[in-house]
Amino acid sequence: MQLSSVGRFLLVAIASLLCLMPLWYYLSPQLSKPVFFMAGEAASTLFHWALSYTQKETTALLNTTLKVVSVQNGQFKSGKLAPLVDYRLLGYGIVIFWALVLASFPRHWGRKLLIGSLAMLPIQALNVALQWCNDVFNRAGPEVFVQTGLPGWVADVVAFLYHFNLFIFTALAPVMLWLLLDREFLAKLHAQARAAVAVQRPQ
Amino acid sequence: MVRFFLIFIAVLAVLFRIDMLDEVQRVAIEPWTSLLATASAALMTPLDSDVAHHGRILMSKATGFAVSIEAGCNGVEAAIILIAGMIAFPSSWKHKLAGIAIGIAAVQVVNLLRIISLYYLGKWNMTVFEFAHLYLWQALIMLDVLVVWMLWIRWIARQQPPSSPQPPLANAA
Repeated sequence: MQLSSVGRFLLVAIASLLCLMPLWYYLSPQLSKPVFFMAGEAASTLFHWALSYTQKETTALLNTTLKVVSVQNGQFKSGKLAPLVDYRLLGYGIVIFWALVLASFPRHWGRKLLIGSLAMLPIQALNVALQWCNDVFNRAGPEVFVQTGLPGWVADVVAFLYHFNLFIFTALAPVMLWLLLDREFLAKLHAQARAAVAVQRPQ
Repeated sequence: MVRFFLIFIAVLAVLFRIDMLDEVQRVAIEPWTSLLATASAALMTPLDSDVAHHGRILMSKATGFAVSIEAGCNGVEAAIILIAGMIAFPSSWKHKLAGIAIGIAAVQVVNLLRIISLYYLGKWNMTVFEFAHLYLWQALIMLDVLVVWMLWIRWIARQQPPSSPQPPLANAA
């Protein structure tokens, strides 16, 4: 039985995902370093209250000047807010991209793999920054948000973007990137389908 | 290609905003999620009488282990991506509607497989469950959406009369 191009694509993509996902998991402490660096630099450039970040394995804390107060055993305790992000929760998209490139195997696939992998880094940095921002603007409470000095609509926009990113864009971004880098695959798929019809219905 | 991506992102954003509305969650998404738990239990109980379900929760009667189907695991977001992809791609509305109906069904069948497999993986080993839940199945569901979309493109290409032009997305390649 001969597999269709979509069937072959699916099988190779699944096999690639199964092989590459554990490898990515193992390498993620290294892969997360440039992502956290970009997200940390962006946060400290954009927001006066963001100081720096501290990475530990695949997680990163954003160190801020924002004060938080909590009640523990009847006593008020104050500290500085430091939202935490786990790279793995937002970074698995790069494996989807690798699997799609290997499955479609375009011309210059090595170059496309490299370009796409590099392009995924700022996308993942955006994911990280969005989670930090959502934690500060929407999860730490109104007394923390007031300290940021930002208008209320910013919190609403960040909440929407954070959820859009978490539920949709994290997994979708690598697919869009692959479509951009390997437009030939869809064109070939379409052309093959048209050719099959032409053979079945000769004019 | 640019036109496709612009329409795709716009439709995606609108549908996701609708999905996030409290009313939509209460009236449509939560009952749908409970229905998924019911369907999963109905598929599992003939082979495994230990499975019970309550609302959106699937649980083991013997061990008390339970999984709750939450946002992101009910296949709604995957369906939204598929709908946006089909609306944005140049084709007739008849083809789009047929693709959306069959495509959503295909995505939900794979999603049921995800829920059932995660339930058993969780009963067996929580580390494997976490890996499959947070990373592997997320990628597989997206791959499912992509493949359904590709099959639909192939189907509409076969439906077009021989003299019709190629879709703009293919021309742009």
